[in-house]
Amino acid sequence: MSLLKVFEIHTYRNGSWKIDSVFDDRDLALMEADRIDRSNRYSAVRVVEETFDEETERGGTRTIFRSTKSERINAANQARQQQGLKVAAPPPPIKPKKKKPTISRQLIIGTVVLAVILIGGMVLLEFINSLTGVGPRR
Amino acid sequence: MEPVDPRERRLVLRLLGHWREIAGERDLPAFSDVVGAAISDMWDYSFLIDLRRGEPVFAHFGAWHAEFYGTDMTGRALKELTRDTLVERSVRYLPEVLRRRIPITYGGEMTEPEGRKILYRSILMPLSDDGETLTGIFGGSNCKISPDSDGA
Repeated sequence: MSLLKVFEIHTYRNGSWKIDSVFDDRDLALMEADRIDRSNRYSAVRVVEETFDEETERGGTRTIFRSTKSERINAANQARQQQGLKVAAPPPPIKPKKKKPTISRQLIIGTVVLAVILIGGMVLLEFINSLTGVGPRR
Repeated sequence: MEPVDPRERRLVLRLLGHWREIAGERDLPAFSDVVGAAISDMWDYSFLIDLRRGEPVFAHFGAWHAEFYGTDMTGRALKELTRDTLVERSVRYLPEVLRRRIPITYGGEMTEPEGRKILYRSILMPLSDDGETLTGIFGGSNCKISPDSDGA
């Protein structure tokens, strides 16, 4: 049985993980990951072991090293994912705003109402005069 | 990038540290960034592959490699290398580096055609002048000859 193993160094920068380099030696990969971590060039670093069984043609991956910073990033990513799964409350319906009448509009309406009252009053007076016979002689 | 610890004696890690140093903030250093004078202690164990001519050729073939291989391959194509020699094994995974565009280091035990049994380690690191097209490969390797080797 032949079990192939490679070790990938992953670095985290600008919100995403990127494969930085590949080793077939675990110790070298860990040493290099430690050096990258100490350089502070990347937000985080991890080493992923990839295995492939030639006989069964099955493979797998597992993380064998995580910088403390990468643990924080993973926790934050998980929290974000969980928040994303929650159903967000629908936003309140937007009520159409009533337009306040402008001053000129108010003035026109007021004038029209006043004119209707005056004309109506005059017509009413004329009508009463015609009934009682009181009023200016023509 | 943190400089390579001077106590670090592993060639591949020191070469990788230099590759990161000359890359700076870029993803990949340029072909012209690799200067022998800057790594005089490692230059003899290094090689530089020029990809700009279509056929990959050695632009630099370290003196130690020239002696160990028996021929200075500077200016010669990679396809001319004798199979199962240290340097041929060291560049055999070049297609993987071209495809993945990241440094890769492989090593192991092997027996050369002359019967030398060796324990070797190698590294290949991509170079690009414009950050897009790969223009070269910076590499290096060294080995220990097994004491029970026929060629020792």
